Amino acid sequence: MKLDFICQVIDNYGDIAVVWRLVKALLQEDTALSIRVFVDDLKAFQKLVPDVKICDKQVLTVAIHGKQVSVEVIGSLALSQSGVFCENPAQVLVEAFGAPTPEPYLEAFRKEAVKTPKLIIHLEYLTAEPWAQEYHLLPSLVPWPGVKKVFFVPSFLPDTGGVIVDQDFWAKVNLSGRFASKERREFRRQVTKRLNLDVGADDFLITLFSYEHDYGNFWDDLGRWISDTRKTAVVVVFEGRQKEGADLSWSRFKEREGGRQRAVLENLKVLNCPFLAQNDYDDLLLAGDFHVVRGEESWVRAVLSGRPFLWHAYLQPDGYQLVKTEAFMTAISSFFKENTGLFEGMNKEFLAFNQRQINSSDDEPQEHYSFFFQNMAEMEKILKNFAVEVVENRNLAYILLDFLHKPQL
Amino acid sequence: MITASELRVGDVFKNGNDVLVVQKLEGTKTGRNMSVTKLRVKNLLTGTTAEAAYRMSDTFEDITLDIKKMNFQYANGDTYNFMDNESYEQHEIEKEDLGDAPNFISEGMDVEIVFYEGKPVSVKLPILVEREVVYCEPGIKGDTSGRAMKPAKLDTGYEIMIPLFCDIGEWIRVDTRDGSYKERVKK
Repeated sequence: MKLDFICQVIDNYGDIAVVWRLVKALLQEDTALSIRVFVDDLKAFQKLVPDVKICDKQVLTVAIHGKQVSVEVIGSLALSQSGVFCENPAQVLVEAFGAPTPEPYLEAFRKEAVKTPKLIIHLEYLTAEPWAQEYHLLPSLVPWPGVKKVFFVPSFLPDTGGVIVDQDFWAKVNLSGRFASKERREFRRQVTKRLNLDVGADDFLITLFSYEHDYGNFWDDLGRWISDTRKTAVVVVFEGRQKEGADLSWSRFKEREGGRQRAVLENLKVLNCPFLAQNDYDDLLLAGDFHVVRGEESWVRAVLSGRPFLWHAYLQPDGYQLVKTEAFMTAISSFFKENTGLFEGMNKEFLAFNQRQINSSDDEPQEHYSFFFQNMAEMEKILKNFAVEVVENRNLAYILLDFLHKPQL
Repeated sequence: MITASELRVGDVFKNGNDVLVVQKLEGTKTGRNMSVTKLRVKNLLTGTTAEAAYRMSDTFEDITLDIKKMNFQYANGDTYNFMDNESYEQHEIEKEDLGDAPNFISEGMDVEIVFYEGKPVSVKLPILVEREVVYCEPGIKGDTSGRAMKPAKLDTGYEIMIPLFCDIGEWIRVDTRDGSYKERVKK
């Protein structure tokens, strides 16, 4: 089966990150698939996958179950041109997040569909809101003979498109062990050494990857926890949107605490880290203990990792990100039946973290982190159970291929 | 052309050779400030109904149809009777073709009726209609925030959530697009 993906990079890296993850996940399910990715921002793609070159057309190889599988990538310049790039449109076209398909390609697609029926998949954003169940696999009527279009809605809920698992990532989740285990320490040692990050095997490892945010409470809570427990911690701050807020509040914290809490500062290390390729970010996430994540791609990795985390949802008008946050919390709530106090704590901090009208690096943060630091092992146990449920029953690539193999064209 | 975001209940558009009338629609926000909409449409050529989802930016070929201002006379079971305000001619429309309109119309109300090939096919309502609250728990004076809501019944029988401060006998404005409370009206 041939699939073409259309990906438009709107902002940041999430669009192409999700598409590339899905491509890999589909190939893990079926290496015989023939996949092309049309993407309008190869520089963003290159940040995630350093092998990507800035050119019209290239072939990337992906290691799938020890075998090298090819994926054709068509760059931005070619995307809007008619001609060779529009030849042989695939049987299935996936419009990622409603990316508009360039007219020359669509024309060729429609022309061929008259002879051989074709399908367009409108791939939606991930959500835990109930509407995902209503919209998933609804047709989107199109006036072109031979063409069917359907909505495919990824979600944590049953009877939806599910979540992109990536079997390689899941294998590493199991390899990286439990919180404070020997396996975790060894996994961390190997990963941080390879990434050239100065992290000790026993350090409490945190990563910050969010939209603009004031991290004042984070440093205060972490400092207090270090002071109470005498543990050592390393905080990895990535370049990008969260860096200004993290740096600013870190400077303020050092200034304020420097004189009186020298021991805390000695036990707390901040590492500035460049933007990591997708595989490297995966590994660092699994080497770590607590993470701040954002958007969709890093959110899903955090969920599947089972590590305690805070999710910064994409800012929406009228605070709609809170509706999305509440829906996610509802989706995981049943896993906290034995410990409702933990759920209440996590729910409170998730909502507080997303309570905002604008993204700001210097604001009045509402969320607190002590709750997470104090309940790491128990939270990881519960979140891992949720991850297992998602992997076993909501594997998006499996659900999509199952749908595509049904006789609907 | 008309975009999905511009569609309203009662609008008619073309999809290929099919002529579709919107019977029901509801929108939802997805990610990154995007929205999608779910429609229930009736194919005026085949009589079949279907649900479909669209991006708000999807476009359709709209059709210019005859629209007449008519007065809702009465409902007889599932048949709704309307009278042409100019010719006094009577027309019947089945309830299933009216979408959610029965929730918002009452006898004597003027509405716009859409005709396709001489046959009434749908009703177009104003975005806001005024309706009377006929049942709810007693109002709470002083609570004017409008955030806390309670169930209520309107004079059409439609059940709706209204703010705590509203009371029986009061009139409210209702958004016919999603059936939600908008504001209290002084009568």
